[in-house]
Amino acid sequence: MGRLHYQDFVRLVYGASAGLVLHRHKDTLVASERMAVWGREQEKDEISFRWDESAITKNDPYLAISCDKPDELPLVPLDYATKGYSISAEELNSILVDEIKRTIDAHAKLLASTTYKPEPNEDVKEIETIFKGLAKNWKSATAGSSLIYHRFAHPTYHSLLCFAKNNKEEVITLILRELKTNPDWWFEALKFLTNTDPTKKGDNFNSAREAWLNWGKERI
Amino acid sequence: MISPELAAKFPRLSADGATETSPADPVYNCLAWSAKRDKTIWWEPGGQTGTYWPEGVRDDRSFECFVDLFEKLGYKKCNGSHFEFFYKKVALYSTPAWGFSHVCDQLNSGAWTSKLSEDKDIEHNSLECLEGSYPSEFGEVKQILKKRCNAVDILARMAFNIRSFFRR
Repeated sequence: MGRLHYQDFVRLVYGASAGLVLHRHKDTLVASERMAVWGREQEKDEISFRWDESAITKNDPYLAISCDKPDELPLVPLDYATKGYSISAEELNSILVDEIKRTIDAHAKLLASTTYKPEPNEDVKEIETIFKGLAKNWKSATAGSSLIYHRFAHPTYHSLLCFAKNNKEEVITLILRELKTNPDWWFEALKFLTNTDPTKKGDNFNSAREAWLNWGKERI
Repeated sequence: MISPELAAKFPRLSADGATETSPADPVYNCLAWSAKRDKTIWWEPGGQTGTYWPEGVRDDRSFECFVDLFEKLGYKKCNGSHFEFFYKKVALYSTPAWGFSHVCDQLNSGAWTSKLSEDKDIEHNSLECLEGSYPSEFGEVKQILKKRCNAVDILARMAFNIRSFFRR
């Protein structure tokens, strides 16, 4: 088969590396990850599935795997991200696609049957929970990387941007708060989401952080 | 001594006798540390906000561009990580999937020093203790480079040897 769609890539990779627990948030399908050991799991020759339908919970979302226009999102080309994690699109597809379809279908049925309806004021809380889960997952999965662009290639980072595209204003605020309290390399995500860049050429981590916090001080 | 968190990420560090030598710091990385002992900025090709890459050095993110960086700093490719009195050495780690993954450099004592991603600086005795599955560990050593020590380094090495002799 030809190139794998980015959205499918994220879905398949996470299907391979983690037990997925899905629920729907607005137009985004959200999944919690039961086994956040991405970096090690992909080294194994055999890929196993862990699937726990009973573990569905709206309070434990980790991974958004769908968005309106996923092709606009990757900061790293698909083939590079695939290469970086040692899994070719063809390999993934041949091994996993049937299994993933089966599990997605099973959850779609489950979601259709659920009686849960969020209260209006639950939305913001839920966005924060999803963002924090994704951020935590990204940090822990990429904490050992010596180069930032390796971290930007991680599927959770792309999932986070997918999710942020659908909840832009809330997520920008959450990223700025995260930058203030728990500093990390959020500058490229902020540039991507805000279409602006208050930093100067030659800024280091601390001065870039300061510039973004000044830019968004009224939102924090 | 190393923290339990670090020991969990790098299972071979404890047996190596590695020690932590700085607190965690997201401002600089292993390249900044081993190239210039620079604690002010993160060295990385690609021009992302908050990073630095020297002008005139290849920046295509291939493994060779990291070799090029150290060659521009006066290092030459060599074989063998053993201690040579008149030479400073750096060891570049690589993984098949990612290419460059880490660099550390040899101290006057013959031990090695590493800045671990956004984490701490450590001193370690072998290169193998950081090898293993990326991104927690760094793949394997792919290239050693060395350059002649300057007079200050040679004096420091002599002083280290004299101190070690009297300690024995």
